[in-house]
Amino acid sequence: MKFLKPNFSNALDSPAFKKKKSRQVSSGKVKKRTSTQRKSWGGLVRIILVWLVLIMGMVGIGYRLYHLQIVKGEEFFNRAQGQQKTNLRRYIPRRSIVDREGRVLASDQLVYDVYAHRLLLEESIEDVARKLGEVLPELDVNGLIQRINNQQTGVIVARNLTENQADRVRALRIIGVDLDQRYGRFYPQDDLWADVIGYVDMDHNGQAGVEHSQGELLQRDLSSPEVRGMLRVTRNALGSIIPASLPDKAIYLDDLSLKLTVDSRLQRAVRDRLRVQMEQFKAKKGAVIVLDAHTGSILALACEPTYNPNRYFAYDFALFKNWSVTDTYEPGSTFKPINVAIALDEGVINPNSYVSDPAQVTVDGWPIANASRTGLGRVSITRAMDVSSNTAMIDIMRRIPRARYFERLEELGINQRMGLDLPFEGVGFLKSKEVFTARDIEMAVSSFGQGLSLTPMKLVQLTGALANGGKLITPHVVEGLVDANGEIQVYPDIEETQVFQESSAYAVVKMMESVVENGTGKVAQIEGYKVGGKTGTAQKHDGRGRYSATARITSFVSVLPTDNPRYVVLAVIDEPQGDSLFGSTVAAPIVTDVMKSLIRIRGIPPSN
Amino acid sequence: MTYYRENNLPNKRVRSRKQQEVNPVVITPKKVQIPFWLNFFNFITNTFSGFSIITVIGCFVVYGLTVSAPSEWTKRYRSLQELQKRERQLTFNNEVIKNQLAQEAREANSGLVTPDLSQTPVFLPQTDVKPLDKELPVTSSPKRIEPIFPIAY
Repeated sequence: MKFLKPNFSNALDSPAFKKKKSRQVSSGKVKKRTSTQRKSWGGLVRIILVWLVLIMGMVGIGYRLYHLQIVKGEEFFNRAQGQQKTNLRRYIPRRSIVDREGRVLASDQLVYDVYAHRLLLEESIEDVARKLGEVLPELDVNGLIQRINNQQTGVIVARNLTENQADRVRALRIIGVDLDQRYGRFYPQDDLWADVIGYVDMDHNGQAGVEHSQGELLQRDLSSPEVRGMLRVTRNALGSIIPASLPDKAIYLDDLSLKLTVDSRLQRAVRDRLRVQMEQFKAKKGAVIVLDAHTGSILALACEPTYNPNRYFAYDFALFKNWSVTDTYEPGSTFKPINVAIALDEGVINPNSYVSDPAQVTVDGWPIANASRTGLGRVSITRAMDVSSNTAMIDIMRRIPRARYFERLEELGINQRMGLDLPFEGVGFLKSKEVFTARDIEMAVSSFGQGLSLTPMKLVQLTGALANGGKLITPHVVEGLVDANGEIQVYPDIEETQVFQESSAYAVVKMMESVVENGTGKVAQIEGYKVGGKTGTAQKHDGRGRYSATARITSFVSVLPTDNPRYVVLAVIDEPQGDSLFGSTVAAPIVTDVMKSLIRIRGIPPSN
Repeated sequence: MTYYRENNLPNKRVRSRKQQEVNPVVITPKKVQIPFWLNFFNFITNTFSGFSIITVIGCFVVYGLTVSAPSEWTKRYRSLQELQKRERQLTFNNEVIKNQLAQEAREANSGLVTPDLSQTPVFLPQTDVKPLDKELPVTSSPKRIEPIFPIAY
């Protein structure tokens, strides 16, 4: 056999093109023609035709390919993207707020608004309105029909629907009616925590309280890729999302919530008691603060009057501030324990010293008298505190050089910010150093808590310093970010400075114990427990540079229990009405009942 | 061509000769020495064939997973959304009910009684109880038993 290379010219010589002649069968042997044979042109034409057809097919396909890929490529690409790409809307709520026991005080829910667009409606407007009316019982069906007739698109059917109601509307599957989803913030305890937590407005921005000051902790960091609300993902023909198209860690969302140091049960007791007292004395405003002096945690904070953050728009905006943090007042006698602690620290007196307590003294030409208009003569400091003598305090504080006294007051931070985690903190007022040290009168009035002003929260902090052995700790409401297991992930930084010696602070607490046992604080006695306290009854300025005869601000601060001081309770009532308006009659009963609740809730054992 | 031996021997020998007639040539197969390199190549071939088969099966498995991934993922994601919804609704309703309960408790006729604040809560007096020391049992040292070695099983 001849083996030929498979190229074109040899193909033309192939037997297929040779003309066939009939063969004569001889005796078993096949006669082969060996001479060259003539070519058949028909075969050649056939093969060229086949070749042409195939080539044309290839060219056609090539052209089609070019047309589809290059000419229309972009259009098809966009169509494919349109089919495949979809928006994935993630549930990224604002973090919820919990109290120290884990009760939820504020949380995000999904709320829906229903819109109707007349342009897109396929059924009659009456039918649509009727169907919606069946699902939403409070809907005014006729009003809705009118509104849809008046407006082409964007008619609001209903607002703030819950998820269940929205599911029912969605199940109707009416074309032209759609649901707009957004986050709504809800406060299950209504007005119990309004002063501490505040509220968020329609744009979900905190405007008061912890919602405002801790906005960064509550609102997740939107710049990080993990927290994008709307993701662009690819889905397959069945509508399922292809996970590979998601950005890294896209679905991960931490479940941290903001934990506060406050206690709901105590807050309820506090607020109820405060309301009763405000009712009784028809006071302008009132506040109660309960502090754990060891850690600086605030256990309860209630201001009256208050508002319901679920319906903040219905209230006067003056209520949105927490006045115990923002407004200053002249503390009056409740500042005396702090002055005594300063004097003990400076060494000008010791706990057993005796001072003179006349009924009245004259300082720089100004006459200053005791509230009781009587004097006991020579008294121990403890007794002076018992009866809350102003003149005895002047006798004590005049022993300290004026500049040094002013320095000590500044060291306490009376005219500086505490760095609270509640917003809009008010700063106290001290006269300038020149004015303060120029004459004795400033020292004299400061000795019984007038002439300087501070916020109720600052007074609580200072009394807390007495209770915990002399350390000034920033009061705080925020404990940190806590995960679902209750473990704290993010701690705030709490500052601590020693401002009193431990012995001085302890001595003053003992004097406060005597005030309750023998002095003006008898109302605060609790059987089986040793508590310390101090009453305060201060006259308010009448706005014309003089003290008003009638407007008072009554307060009572207590330390519990005095053998192992831990808790500080302050109640301030502004402008009570009626007769017998003193710290001991207006504010002290609140503190007594709050302490009893505190004992019960925290399980404080009796003092023996 | 067969050869016949001279038969001078007894019958036993005759039988063996007959066997030998039937199987005249008994060839014991010589042990074939496969060369080392051939063995090695065979081993490589078989191993890699095995790997190929495993890889192909693995490819099928991965393909199956890839194809089912989107629908699985979407199913799980929907259940995640459902669970999130249930969680937030449950916590919220829980808190609202607690709040309602607390408010109703204030009403006089609710059947709930506020604790009497004039009495201190019940505290048991502290008892100084020393924990009982477990007396260590007096054990004598174990009697030494002379081991008996078994001499037979």
